[in-house]
Amino acid sequence: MEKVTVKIDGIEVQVDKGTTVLEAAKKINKLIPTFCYHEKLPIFGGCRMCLVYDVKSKRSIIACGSYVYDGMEIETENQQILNDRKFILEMLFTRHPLDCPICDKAGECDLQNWGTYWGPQNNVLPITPFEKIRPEDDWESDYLEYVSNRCVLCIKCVSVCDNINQSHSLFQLERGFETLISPVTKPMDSSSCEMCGLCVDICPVGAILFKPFKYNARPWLLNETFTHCSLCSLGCPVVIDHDGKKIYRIRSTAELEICAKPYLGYDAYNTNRLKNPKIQGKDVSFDNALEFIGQIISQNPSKTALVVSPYLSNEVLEKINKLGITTTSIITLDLLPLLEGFGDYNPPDFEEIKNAEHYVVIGDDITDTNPVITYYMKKRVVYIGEQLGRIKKLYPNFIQAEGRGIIEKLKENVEEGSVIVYSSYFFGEDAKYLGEVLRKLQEEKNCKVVIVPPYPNGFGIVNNLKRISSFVKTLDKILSGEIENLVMFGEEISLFVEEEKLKEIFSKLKNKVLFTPFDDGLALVCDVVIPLNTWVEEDGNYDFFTGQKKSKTSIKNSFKNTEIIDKILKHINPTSNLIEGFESDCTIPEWINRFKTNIWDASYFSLRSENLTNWKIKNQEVLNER
Amino acid sequence: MKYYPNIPDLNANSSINLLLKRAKENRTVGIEEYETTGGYSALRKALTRFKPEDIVIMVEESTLRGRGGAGFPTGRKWRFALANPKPRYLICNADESEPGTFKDRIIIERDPHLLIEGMIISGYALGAELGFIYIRGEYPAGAMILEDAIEDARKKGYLGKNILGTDFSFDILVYRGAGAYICGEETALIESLEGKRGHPRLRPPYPANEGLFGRPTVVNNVETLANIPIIVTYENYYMNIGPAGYYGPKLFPISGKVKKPGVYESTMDITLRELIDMAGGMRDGKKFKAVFAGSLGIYSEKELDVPMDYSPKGFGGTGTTIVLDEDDCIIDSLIVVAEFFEHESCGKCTPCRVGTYELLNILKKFQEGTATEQDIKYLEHLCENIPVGSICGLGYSAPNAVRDALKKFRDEFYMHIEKKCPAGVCFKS
Amino acid sequence: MQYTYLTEDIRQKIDKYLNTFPVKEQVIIQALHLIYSKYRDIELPHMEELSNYIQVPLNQIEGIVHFYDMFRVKRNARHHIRVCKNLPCHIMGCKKLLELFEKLTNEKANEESKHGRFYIETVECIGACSVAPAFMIDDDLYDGTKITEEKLNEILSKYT
Repeated sequence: MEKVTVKIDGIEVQVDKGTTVLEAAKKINKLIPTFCYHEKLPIFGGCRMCLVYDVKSKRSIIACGSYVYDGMEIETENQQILNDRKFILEMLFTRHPLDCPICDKAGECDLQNWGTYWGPQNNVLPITPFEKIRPEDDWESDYLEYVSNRCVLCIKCVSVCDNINQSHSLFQLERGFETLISPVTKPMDSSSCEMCGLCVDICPVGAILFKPFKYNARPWLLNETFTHCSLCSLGCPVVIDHDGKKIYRIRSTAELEICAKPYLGYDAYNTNRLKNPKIQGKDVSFDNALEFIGQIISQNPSKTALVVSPYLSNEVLEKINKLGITTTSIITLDLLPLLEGFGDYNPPDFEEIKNAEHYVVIGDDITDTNPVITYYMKKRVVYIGEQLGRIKKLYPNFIQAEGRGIIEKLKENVEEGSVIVYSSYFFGEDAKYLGEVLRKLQEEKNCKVVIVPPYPNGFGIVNNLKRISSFVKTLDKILSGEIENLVMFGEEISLFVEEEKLKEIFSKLKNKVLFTPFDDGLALVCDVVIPLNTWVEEDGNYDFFTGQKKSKTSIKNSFKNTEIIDKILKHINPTSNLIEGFESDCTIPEWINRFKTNIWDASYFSLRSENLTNWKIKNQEVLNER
Repeated sequence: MKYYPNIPDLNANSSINLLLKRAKENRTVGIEEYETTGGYSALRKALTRFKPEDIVIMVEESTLRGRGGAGFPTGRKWRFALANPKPRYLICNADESEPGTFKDRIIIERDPHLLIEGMIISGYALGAELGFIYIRGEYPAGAMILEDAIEDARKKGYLGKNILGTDFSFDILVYRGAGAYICGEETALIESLEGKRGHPRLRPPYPANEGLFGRPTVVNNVETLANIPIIVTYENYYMNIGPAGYYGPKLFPISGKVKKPGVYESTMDITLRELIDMAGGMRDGKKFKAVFAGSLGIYSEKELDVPMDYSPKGFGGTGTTIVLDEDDCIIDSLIVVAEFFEHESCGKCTPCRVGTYELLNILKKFQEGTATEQDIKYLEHLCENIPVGSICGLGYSAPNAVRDALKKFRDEFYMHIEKKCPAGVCFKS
Repeated sequence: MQYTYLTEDIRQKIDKYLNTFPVKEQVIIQALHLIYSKYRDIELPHMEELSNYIQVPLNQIEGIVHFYDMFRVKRNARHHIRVCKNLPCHIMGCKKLLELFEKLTNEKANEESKHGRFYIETVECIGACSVAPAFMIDDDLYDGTKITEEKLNEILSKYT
């Protein structure tokens, strides 16, 4: 790469040719204020906030949209530039309502910040900012709100929706001074909007607000925890804003990778949480409850089975090995047979996937299961599945197929070097067959195979557990009386087993033990229930598709999942006479539910989110209509 | 005869009969008539006798400047594009929306083949295979006339594959705009032509490097392109038309308080005063007050001897002349111009979007009688700053009229502060 | 998909555009002109059908409709009168012409039509400044220099 030398405020810096002045200035930590610039978005260059002075051409140029040339000299803070900045801010302030005290963005507002540093600290034009000029545009949404008079028209929201999320849900209404941002159809909750919240996060002022957050907190009083979202196998970087007790919002980082699952679904962590262990509905201490469980296991280890959840962290999964009892998981239904068919699976590099030319999505709609991966699918897409859902935002070539037909169509439509994206759909034998086909396509057609389960740590179970028994067989053993005690560790098996069958299974059990974060659902019918931490409450590593990443604690509970297992271990004598190895389910009985992942109900977390449920009710009908 | 929407008789006159040779009457010249009056002979000559490079040199030597307002030398513009690899595109800017400008429509509606011939020759010179005519939405008749004329030219083999038996192929597509002045700005035009909102692009890259579909693109005004066949026909004789350095015919659209408003063709050695005389002088014996050069500036009585050329002190621009007499109020007219800019600002960049809006608001205070001396200062403040940060020509030129007025008609502002309007337009109630 | 507003005729013309223009996005504005000349108003169902037919995101079409003067206004009328209000027409008395129009059509300028026949809009320069105050009715341009109530009535009677 050709290098060029530029001088910025007298400091020489060497950068690649084709770098913008703004990026070059960043290298020497020069702050140039911006509104419409974001490193992941195409350069818009409209706000003119980043004007800098080009000494050689003797004029002001914008830093974000001007490229460096060798010998360029830039001044970022001379009198002319200070005047220019002041004028731009003055223009933005002329009609901006000075309602900062009741504005949700106060404290994290660029206009406020830049105004403090560079703005005119008085009203220059004889106009009172309280004169509301631009009409309000009601987005008719329960979640997003637009305050037109605060908008500085940086258009980042429209850009992020078009270029990142690609759901194309916002547009510019009118033009010139009257421009408003408006949803593509109203009410917004029933539009193509995916509620990823990126438009809110990227708004430099308080023009687009997240209603559930509105008037609830002052952002500067909240703690922010940078973590990785553990709601699907992508593990996107997110920020959790909390006060140590309650989560106020989950937002995206500068990577702009977030979807509705955490953005709307954060409320699930605040409500209906199980606080204390219970035996037969009565509160007991942790020690008592865990001792009780220890007794159950040690009394009859061979008659006890454990179901682990792919939502658990690697640390917890590793410890579970020590319990030495039959362990199963729902991944034996789908992910295990798939990997069995495929053989040794090494995920391709995410960067390679981003730059691919041709994608083939198969099975369930990837926009529902792992929305963020679609943010990067910008070239030709083929979708082979039952029904064209949200993925239509990518204008895919849709091939309708069902069951194994999907795999046959895949074989016909794959191209040399295609990226094949699969999340869920196939169970058992079919999944195994898909695995074999994928392996073949990887070897013969040089395809990149992307397996992104809708749950976060499926690969973690495979990598950390030494033995996994068949899920179906384990339940069969309960029915035949071979197993009497079932310990469900963070898993809501009711999602996967038909209700009648589950009742039958539960009736055969002597002890139903449930570790769960929530005080509802199966917790109401189990004999022993123990609280569990979720990914927001306990540090943990997860084997995401993009590699092992850590979720960090934002809210501290008095207990830890890992300690819970340690305490149980104290009460049992592990007899590891179980054979190591994985046993996947090939034949799937009728009473196994194929839990279809949707953007609204992706997991037992999402199902408990009021925000997501409410949105689902509003959104579902319209999706069916269109 | 095909049906076209009604077009009234717009007065057009010429003493030199070059651009308006066939366009002085209100009718469309068909391809046969165009051919019998010497049409397409320049194309034949260009394709058979000249290499593309010869034509570029000819255009450079002709000192032809863009007639769309900016007055950039056409030859140089072509050179920039030629420095970049093919495919290249040629775009004819027929989005004539400057207030008071109606010269291009005369060519489009009356002599469409002159424009088409000019485009083909330019396409040949530029090595382009596809040209677009971006015609403003408010000219529905023009679009239909052009479509039909292009079809006729295709039938005759002037357009399409292997034009006149050579290996040069070229085609023209008509693209209708839909009412946005900003789309006359070349990068906004390209955005609009690509099927987007007409927001101007950041420059660099200039269209000559990365224009339509990211390819080198030349955007020329209708009148500019209509000059090309004349240059090819006359070759060196072209340099006998008009004053040194500003050769060639120029169309001057005159409107307002003159006896015979219309489009006048002349060489550029006339003055503003002579032009007004050409249009019959002031109507009803009223006293001259000012000329609005479209929206780009104001000329007072003292400046009537300004030459109508592209010299630094010349009139320049599109040649648009709107004549005001003693019955017209400068403030009232400025408000109309400011409303126009406020309405047409695309909203992309802050200074233009807010600046034009606040400019209008302050001007309105003068008409309402609520202005103070402080407001004159604010106007000056805005006029000084709006152009600095603006992306495109609209922002650069939006405060021009106000700035000129503050310089040349400052007393009218003070009179309005005292609620007096010399023309008797404002404060009537 | 069933097309209610994009009639066979319009679709054929759109197909022609799709075949001639290098990029399908270029068809949007041209197709909107077809819709505009047939329905005079461009509304959401029209845009949805167009979006579906040429496979372009709806928000892009809506953004375009709201950007361009000719498309964005809701008129609710069969005929569209455009009266130029820019400087040349302003000083030549477009206000009087506008009042005349309002009187003869019983409609208010720039307001949604009450009777469904005419919509009067004041527009920026329509490029006919030598016949100022100029006006257009639908696609026809008229000379307003010597207009009288009688003449205007005669012109309006052509548009039913």
